Amino acid sequence: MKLKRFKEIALDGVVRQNPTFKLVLGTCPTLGLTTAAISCLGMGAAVTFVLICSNVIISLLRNIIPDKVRIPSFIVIIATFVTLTRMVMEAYLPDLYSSLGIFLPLIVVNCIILGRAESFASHNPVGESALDGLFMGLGFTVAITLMGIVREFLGNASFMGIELWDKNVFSIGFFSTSAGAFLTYGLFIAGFTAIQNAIERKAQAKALKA
Amino acid sequence: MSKSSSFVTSLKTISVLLIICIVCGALLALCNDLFYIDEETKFNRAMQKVYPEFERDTSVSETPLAEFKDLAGAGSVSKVYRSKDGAYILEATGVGGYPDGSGTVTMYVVVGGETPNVEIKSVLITGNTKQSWIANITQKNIDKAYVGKNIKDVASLQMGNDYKWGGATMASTAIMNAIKSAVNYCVTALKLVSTPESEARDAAVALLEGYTLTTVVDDAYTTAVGANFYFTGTKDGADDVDVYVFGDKESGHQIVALKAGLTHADRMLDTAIVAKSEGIDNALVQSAQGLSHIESQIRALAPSFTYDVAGDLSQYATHSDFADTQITSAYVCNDGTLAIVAESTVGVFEDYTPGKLTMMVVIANGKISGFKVISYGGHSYFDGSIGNKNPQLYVGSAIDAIEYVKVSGATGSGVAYYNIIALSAYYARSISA
Amino acid sequence: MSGILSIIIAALFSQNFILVKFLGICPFLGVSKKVDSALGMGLAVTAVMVITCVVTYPIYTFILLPLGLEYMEILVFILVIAALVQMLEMLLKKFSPGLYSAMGVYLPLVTTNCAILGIAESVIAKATSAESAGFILKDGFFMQYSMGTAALAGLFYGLGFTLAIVLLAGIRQKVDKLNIAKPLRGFPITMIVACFMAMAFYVFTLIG
Repeated sequence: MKLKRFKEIALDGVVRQNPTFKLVLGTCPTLGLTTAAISCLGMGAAVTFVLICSNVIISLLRNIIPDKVRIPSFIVIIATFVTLTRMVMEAYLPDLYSSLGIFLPLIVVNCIILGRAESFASHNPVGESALDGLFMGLGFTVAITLMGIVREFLGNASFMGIELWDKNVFSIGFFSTSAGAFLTYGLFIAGFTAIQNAIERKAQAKALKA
Repeated sequence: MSKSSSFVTSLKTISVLLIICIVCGALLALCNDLFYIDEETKFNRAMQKVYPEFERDTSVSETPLAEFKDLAGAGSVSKVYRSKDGAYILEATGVGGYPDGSGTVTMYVVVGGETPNVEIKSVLITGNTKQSWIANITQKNIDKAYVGKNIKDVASLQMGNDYKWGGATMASTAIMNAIKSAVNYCVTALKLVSTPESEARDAAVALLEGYTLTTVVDDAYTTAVGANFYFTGTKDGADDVDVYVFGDKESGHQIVALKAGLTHADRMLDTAIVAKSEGIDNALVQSAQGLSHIESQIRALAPSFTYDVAGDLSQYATHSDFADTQITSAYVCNDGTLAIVAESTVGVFEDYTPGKLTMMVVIANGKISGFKVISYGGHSYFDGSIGNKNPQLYVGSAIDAIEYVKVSGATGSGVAYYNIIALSAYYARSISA
Repeated sequence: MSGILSIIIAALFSQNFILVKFLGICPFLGVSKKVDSALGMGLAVTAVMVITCVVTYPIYTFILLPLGLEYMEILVFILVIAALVQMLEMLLKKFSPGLYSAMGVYLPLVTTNCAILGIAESVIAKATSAESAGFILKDGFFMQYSMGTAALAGLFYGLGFTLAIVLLAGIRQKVDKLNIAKPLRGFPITMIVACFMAMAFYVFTLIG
C-alpha cells in the first residue's frame, strides 16, 4: 500500500502531472533560463528545495491555518523559503545567484509552488507532501534541464557550459533568442503530449485485447 | 452569541496570520545574520569574474583623473579599480562603432604585471550601443589579439587586419579604441610603464603647466617636421596649443608649443620669427631649447640661412599716412628676404571696432611675397577675410605700388590689412634706400 | 527627457515583459483566448503594476533600505501586492461595478503573476557599487529609477504586457479555428504563435 502510494506520487510528479509539460506551470523561468543548462539545474534545485520545505510546513500547519487567510499564509511561508534560498545562494553560490537573476525572487509567484500548496499539501499528511514536493520539483528540474540542454546545444554549441566547438562554425543562434524559447517549449509540450497519447492508446488497446 | 464567536474566529484568524508573519520574519532575520555578505565581498566577487585574483585596494582613487580620461581621443575611462596584487581593472568605453561616430563598446580591461612587463591580462566586454554585429567577434578573437600584449605596444597600436574581424569592422574599431583608452590611462596617469610617448608627454606637461595633452597619431606635420610626437593641448577647455616634441629622454626633449591654427611647422620660419618678436614666453615657442631646435631645423634646410634684426625701428616704424599702425619688429634674412611684424588698430568702420590686428608681412625681391596673420580682434568681419582674399590681394604687388583695394563686406578690416602691408612696404623701401 | 523616452520604448518593445523578458507568461497563455478578456487582463495588470511601483518603491527606498532590512524585500513585496490587489478588487466592486465586471474577475489572478513582482524587483534602486558591478555582467536591465520614473515604468511595462497579450489573443482567435495536428493543439500552437511574435519583437532589441 505504502509503496503503491509512493509510486503514484512519483509518477504523478515526474510524468503524469509534470508541472512543466503537462500542467504548463512555472513557465516564466522555463522560457527565461533555458539558454544555459547549468542555470536550469540550479533553478530546478532551488524550486525543489522551496517546494519540499513549503509543502512540509503547510502540511504541518494545515489544521491550524484558518481557511480565510490560507493564501496569504502560504505566500508568506513560500516567500520566507525563497528568501532563505536566495541568501544561501548569494553567500555560497554567487555565480549561480547572478545567472538566475530576477527569476530567483520570482520563485515566490511560481504557480507550481502555490498550486501544490493549495491542491496537495493543505489536505495531505506531512510525509506525502514532502514526497510530492520532491517529485514535482524533480519533474520541473528534469523538464527545464532537458530544454536547457537542447537550447544550449543548438544555440551555443555547448553542453553544461562546456564549449563543444566554436559556435561560429556551427550553431543556430535563433534558439538562444526569446523566439527560440517559445518554439522549443511549444515543440517540447507537443512531443510530450504525443508520446503520452501514444502510450495511452497502447495501454487501451492492450486492455481491450485482454 | 454568534456575533462574539465570529469575533473570536476573526481574532484567531488574524493572530494566526500575524504569528506566521512574525515567526517567518524572525527566522529571516536570524538567517540574515548567518549568511550576511558585506558589500565589499560582493564587489570583490563581481570583479573576480573579470580578474580572478581581484581584491579591492581602495587606497587609490577609483574615479579616473579627468585630464587622462580621454587620451586616445576616441574613448574614455570611467572607473579604475586597483587590486591588492598591483593589477588594475579599468572600465573603458570606445567610440567609433558606427559610421556617424556614435556606437560604443564598454568593457573591463585588466592590466597587470611587473614593470616593464605590464601586459593586458584579460578583456571582458560588458555592453555596447548600436553594435548589432558584435556577436561576430568572439572572446577568443579578442583574447588572441590583445591578451598577453605589453601595454607599451598596445598604446601605439594601429588598426590592422589582426584586430579587425569580418562582418564587424566597426565594432572592432570601437573595441580597439576602448582598449587603447584603458592602456593609455595606465601609461600616462598610472605610469605603469614609460614609453617614448609618455616620456615626451611628461616633459611637455612639465613645461606647459596645467595643459592637458592629447596625442595626435600619424599627423602629416609630425612627418614633415621630423618631430617625434605631436600633441594637441587644452587648458581650461579653451587655450589650444599644438605641441611638437623632438628628441628623446636620453638626448633631452626639445619642445615647441604653438597656438593652434596660428602657424604650423611647415612654416618654421614664421614660427621662429614670431617667437623672437613676441617673446619665448608668449605661449608660442615655450623654451629657448625649442627655438634653437627650430633654427637648427631651418639651417638644415638652408645651410647659409641666418636672420637678424633689420633696420632701425625708431626711424620708420610709423608713418603719418597709416594711422594707428606701427611696426613692432623686423628681420632680414641673408638672402634679403624681409619679415616685418606690424600691428594696427584702425579699421573702425561705422559702428564697429574690430580691435588690434597683428600680422607678419614677408617681402622678397621688392615684392610682397607672403603674409601671416598672428592675431586679430576676433571680430567676425576678420573671420571672413582672414587668411584668404583680403590680404591675399596684395601678394605679388611691388612694394612701391601698393594700392588700397576695397573689399565689400570687409571694408573696415581691409583698411587694417592695407595699412600694415603698405607700412611694411614703406619700411622696406626706406631701409633699402 | 530622452531617459523617459527610452523607458517607454524599452517597456513597450525592446524589453517587453512577455516577449523579451518572459515575465507574466501564465496569464499570457491562460487568458488569451478572446481579445476582450485579454484586454481586461492586460488593463488589470497595468493598473496593479502602476500601484505596485508607486507603493513598493518608497517602501524599499525609504523604509527597508535605511533600516537594513533588504532581505525582507520578497516577503514585504508579495504581501503588499496581495493586499493591494484585494483592496483594488473591493474598491472596484463598490464604486465602479462596470469596470469591475470588465477586469475585476482577473484581479485575483494578478497577485501570483510574475510580471507584478518582477516590476517591483526591477524598479527598486540597486545603487551600491557592488550591485551595479554585478548587474553589468548580467544584462543592463536594472537601470536606476526614481519615484517618478518607477511609476512611469510600471505604466508602460503594463501597457507593453497588454499589447502582447491582446495581439496574441487576436491571432489565437483565428488560429483556434484551424484544424491542427492533435498534439499541437492548445498550448503548443500558442507557443509557436508567441514564437513568431517574439521574432518580430526581437528586432526592437537590436535597435534598443
